[in-house]
Amino acid sequence: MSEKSRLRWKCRRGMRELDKAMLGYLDLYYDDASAQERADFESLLDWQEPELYRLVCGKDKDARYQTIIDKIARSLAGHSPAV
Amino acid sequence: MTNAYKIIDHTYDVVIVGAGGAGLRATLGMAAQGLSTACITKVFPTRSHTVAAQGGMSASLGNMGDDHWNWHMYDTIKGSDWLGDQDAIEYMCREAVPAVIELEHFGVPFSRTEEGKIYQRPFGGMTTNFGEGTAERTCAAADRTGHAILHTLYQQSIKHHAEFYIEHFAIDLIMVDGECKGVISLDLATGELHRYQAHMVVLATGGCGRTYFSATSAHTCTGDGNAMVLRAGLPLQDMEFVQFHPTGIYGAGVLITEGVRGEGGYLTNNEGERFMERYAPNAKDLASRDVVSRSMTMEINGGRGVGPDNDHCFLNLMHLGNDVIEKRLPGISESARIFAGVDVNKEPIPVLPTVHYNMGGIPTNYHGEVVTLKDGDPDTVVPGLMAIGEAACVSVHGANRLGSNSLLDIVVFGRAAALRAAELIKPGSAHKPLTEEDSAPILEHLDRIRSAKGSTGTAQIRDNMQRTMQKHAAVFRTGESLEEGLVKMRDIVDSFDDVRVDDPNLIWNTDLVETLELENLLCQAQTIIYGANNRTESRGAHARDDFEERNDDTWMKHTLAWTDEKANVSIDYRPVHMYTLTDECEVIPPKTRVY
Repeated sequence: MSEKSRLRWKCRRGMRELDKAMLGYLDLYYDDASAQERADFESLLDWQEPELYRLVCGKDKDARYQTIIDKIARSLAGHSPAV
Repeated sequence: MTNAYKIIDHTYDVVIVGAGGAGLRATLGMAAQGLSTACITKVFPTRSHTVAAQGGMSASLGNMGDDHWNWHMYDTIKGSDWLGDQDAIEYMCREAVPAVIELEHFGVPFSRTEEGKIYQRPFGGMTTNFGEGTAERTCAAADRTGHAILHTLYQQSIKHHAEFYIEHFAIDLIMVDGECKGVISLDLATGELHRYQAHMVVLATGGCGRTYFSATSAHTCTGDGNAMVLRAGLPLQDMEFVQFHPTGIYGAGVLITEGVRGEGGYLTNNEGERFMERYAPNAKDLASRDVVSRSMTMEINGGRGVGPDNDHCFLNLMHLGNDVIEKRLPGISESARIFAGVDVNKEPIPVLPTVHYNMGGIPTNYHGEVVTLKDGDPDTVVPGLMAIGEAACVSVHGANRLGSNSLLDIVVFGRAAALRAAELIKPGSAHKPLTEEDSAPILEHLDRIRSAKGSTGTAQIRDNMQRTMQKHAAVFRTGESLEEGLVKMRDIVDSFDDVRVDDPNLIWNTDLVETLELENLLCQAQTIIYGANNRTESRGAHARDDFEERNDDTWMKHTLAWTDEKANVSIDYRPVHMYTLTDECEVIPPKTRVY
């Protein structure tokens, strides 16, 4: 509970776009992810906002994170209009 | 009960709450002047919402052509629809120049001209020669100005030995006999409480965009400092003035730039009609932000919105063709794809007028000192308390903020607060000891929320509030709709008595923190909707369909709103400062605001 909760707080970003992106992954995919993918997600949370945003938007690519970025895109594209 | 908490005590000369641009500029300035300085922040400094500010920062450097701070002052007063305080606006526009130069020296990598000067570009509402020409006044660090400012100021603050308490949630101010003596925070990682005693507490806690359903603000924008001020028995000012951007993506809140409509994009309703032709026959979809936002809201309220709930509009780009979209609107197809699940070549983007900025906040003078109306004096300083940035209402933005004046505001008044603190505080001077009773109400309050065992979840109450504010206190306001909204908000505020916090644990308890944030949002929402109903005129961002004109005789005054423990609102007023600081500029008398 508190581990997931800690990550939830790390998903508090400076930009609305990234709040949606990181929380989308955490809520839909994190629980079922492999240990490696979870670790990758946590390291992504330490990125600075401009670089993270470029990655989420697909302007930059990084093979290590592509699985997570694809899942983020899926979580956002199918999102219901919750705030 | 309060013995159950482990409390760690600190004393500092100054404590800043918030590490966005304003908080960091104050932190740096105070630490650099030898004051022992702590900065408390609920998120890592470079993750503050300032990072989302990409546009730039205005200052009449005149690097690209003639410019003068008098002209900037005129633009800001006109933009404020004459609700801004002219002494504070003079101060901001005059001090803009040294404030930007200082940032440059600290290391902010501003974009440059070929000659190596800071590059400046035009921005809406920024003119030369009192409205005649277009000013090139806005300085930017590529498209990451906010991030560059945060990064630089954070590094500089560390260099000057400011101490940071990161991922600490500030709960409340310690108030003793009307003076602020400190603040209490919860360390989210350890669950420990920290009590900071300080000669000055500076609130730099940002705006409260999350009071609404559709906001461009990050989730963290809950206006915690504003709510602390209300709980301290002090008023907020001009909270009814909320700036909306017409095209936020429905649900996601992500902004779609005005450039889309500039390139020929247009809005439609559920009949496929280009409704802007009816509201603005000449400018159509390119009418000003407030006009477009109001027209969209009238379509939605008239039952002609799109979607299953008829509650938004469509922004169409399909006819532009892929080449135009990719060349002239970079990033739009990605935003629409990622955040709306839409291929802009084939489908319209669902959009809604979206909350963007709070002009209102904690009333201060131009030194950043919090003021209140007391014994007939509207400029009574509250000892020990300052507010800066979006949390504050100096008031430099009045009824409507101009683009690129917000980054300016945070830097100028962060700096002003530091200069003032250095005048008022002798480094290392002794503190009068606090008693346990001084913080007892804060601990009891925390305890009450933490042990709340009602039947309604935080998310449910928050959703009710956000939808009610969006429906009744958004762009298009009428007395009838506001009255309805007030009744609903009363029920929603009361429903907080029945809130449920599942887990009393204090370590990484985001449910508890979100519940405290919700409580903060509720009292601010009350001041917004109450102020909007009370102000029977239209001025700047506050547009009443039943009172369409600005009424300077009655309403050229700031609203002050206090809340009681049940979030009932009471109202009084402060005069607008229609005077300047020096005789190097003239008072700008009110006239009709036409662009």
